[in-house]
Amino acid sequence: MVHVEVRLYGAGDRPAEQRVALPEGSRIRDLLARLALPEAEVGVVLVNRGDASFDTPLQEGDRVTLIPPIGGG
Amino acid sequence: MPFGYNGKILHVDLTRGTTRVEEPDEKWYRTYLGGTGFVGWYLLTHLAPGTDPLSPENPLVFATSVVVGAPLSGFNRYVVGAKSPLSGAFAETEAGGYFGPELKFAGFDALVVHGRAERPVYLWIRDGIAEIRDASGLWGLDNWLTLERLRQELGDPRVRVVSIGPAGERQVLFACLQNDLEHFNGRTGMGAVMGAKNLKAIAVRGTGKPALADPEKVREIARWHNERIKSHPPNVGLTKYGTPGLLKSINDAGFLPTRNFREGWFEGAEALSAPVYHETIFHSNSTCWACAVRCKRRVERTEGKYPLDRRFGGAEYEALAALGSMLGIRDLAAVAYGNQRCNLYGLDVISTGAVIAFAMECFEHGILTPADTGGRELRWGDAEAMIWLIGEIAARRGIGDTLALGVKRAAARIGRGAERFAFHIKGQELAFHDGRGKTGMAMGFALSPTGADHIETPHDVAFQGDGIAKLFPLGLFDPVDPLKTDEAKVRFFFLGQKAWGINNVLALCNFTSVPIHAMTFGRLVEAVSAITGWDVSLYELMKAAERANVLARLFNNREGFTPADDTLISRWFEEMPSGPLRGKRIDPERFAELVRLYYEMSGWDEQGRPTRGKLVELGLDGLAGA
Repeated sequence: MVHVEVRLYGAGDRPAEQRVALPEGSRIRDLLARLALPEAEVGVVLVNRGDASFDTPLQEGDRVTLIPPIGGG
Repeated sequence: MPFGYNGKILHVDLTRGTTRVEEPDEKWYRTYLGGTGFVGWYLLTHLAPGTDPLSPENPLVFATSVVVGAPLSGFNRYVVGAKSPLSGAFAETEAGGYFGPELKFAGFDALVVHGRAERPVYLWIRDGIAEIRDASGLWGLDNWLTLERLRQELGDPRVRVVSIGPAGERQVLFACLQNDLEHFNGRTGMGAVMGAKNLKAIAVRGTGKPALADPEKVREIARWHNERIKSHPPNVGLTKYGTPGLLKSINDAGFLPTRNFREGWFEGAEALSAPVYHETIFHSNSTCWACAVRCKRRVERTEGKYPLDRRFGGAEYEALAALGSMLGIRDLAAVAYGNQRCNLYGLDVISTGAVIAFAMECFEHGILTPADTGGRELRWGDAEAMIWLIGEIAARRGIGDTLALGVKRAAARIGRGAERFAFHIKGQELAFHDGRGKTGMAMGFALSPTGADHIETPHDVAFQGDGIAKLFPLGLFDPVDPLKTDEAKVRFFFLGQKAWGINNVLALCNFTSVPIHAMTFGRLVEAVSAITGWDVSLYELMKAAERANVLARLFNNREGFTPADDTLISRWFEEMPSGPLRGKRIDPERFAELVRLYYEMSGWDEQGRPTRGKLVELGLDGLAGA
């Protein structure tokens, strides 16, 4: 298992923080499935402050930031 | 020989019926780059202060940039500008599609239209040749028929057309321009300026292409960029759902403008959300020139009261808010149909939704009554009233003639205290993002030279927590709190505005570019260098963005705008009454203090006028009195 620290942001209050355990080899996509969060509801994804994609593999201790798409249009 | 651009600007004088080609030098191109830079330069040097925006003296500028037409996703926009008839301020409004690149392929980097034709005309620009043609047979037609007729007349289905609909002809003050029925220079009333010139359309066809300085490098960056677009989360979301995908998150966050900005959470949002859109009216993706994101929507509905045709651009987020939450309407088909009517007539859907919301709130308070509306009720949630009013505004009939002036002037004409419900900044209606939920974006609303503009700066929300890493290249290292109104927010806004301003001087799409989407700062600098052959830096590009902003500021100062115009709407100074942001407000004194801090940071005096030192720094001292 790998353990990752997830920070899920909304509109500016403190983020919802949780620690999630996932099988070895899991990717961001698997984390979103675990959180029941559709991909289209995620705007910005960072792992350890670096840009990540839905395919980015997760390592033990990674810090994952998820921010919904709430920009302009 | 220039790389990336043609070195030619087309000037058309409709009064005299003449055309000429200007060939500015390389220094001019590198100083202003394109887009808002070109618009600012032409407005400051070609327009006397105090000129009536609907007079022949107001030049109408169509500007691409030194990089538009290079084969990279998002390098495909053009900026239209003039003095705004809606606000009296600096106007610029961008659109994507195919028109911008086509103008470049036809041999011109920009087009400046002067004067007024005696009779309706259109322009036909083809590979370096421009012709003013009779458009009396097109006058009165909607945008759809105009496009069909022009393509038939010119015998080429690949002709790219910008046109105005009946709303522009009748000079509705927020009339827009469209190209190919799917792309819109929506804001600031440029359709009215075009209508006042008796200019119905501009048709362009080009078969050339400006040479690239390093074509191999450009191709390599394009491959990298397009590959990244496929997996970069915000771009993946845009490809799947387009901007309608934003609606649910914005409502969940509590800043979806609802019933004329009274609330920030709409109980009917689910019915307007992307999954419902996808299942009920979505037909297929559409795109702009050479773009891999494909965020545009085509919609189709053949049955029921509200038929939708896939030739029109489907409703974007702003349209869903404009004709949906702002009016309390939760019928997606009706909202999409209202959007289609706006596209057909050539009305900016943002201002249209805002004036209808204003009218509905006035009706609720008895300021407007059935005596003003020919017996019609204007109630929240009434989709039929919304669709009826769109037609009345475009035709300038009855109450529609008053609403065609925008909320500020409509309120003045109605009187009876209507200005309490007329929400605008510098005379322009607000786009649909409640500033109480993203105060940096609110600073953009207050300080944009065009009046309330939601794309003046990237929105705070993306830079919370580790999201700030996206702005490390600007020297910003502390996370942004969207709800705070403090000094750190001014710094974020100041730098964010210059970063997004790059996209406006280069006429790039924000949805492919820095700082949120697939392009990175480093690769953008490489791309501009590889296209133009200039060794550009991020510093140089941000300075060009600042220069364009200062040109616009000089223009507005000259027109009599003051710090009193750099403010927000009264509702945002009050507590949000409901939803997730319940109780949140922006303190007006604190906000004004921070606007003054922004002036200081910008090198502007306490009256918001750029100082001599700033003008010399930007090389604009010679233009200050222009």
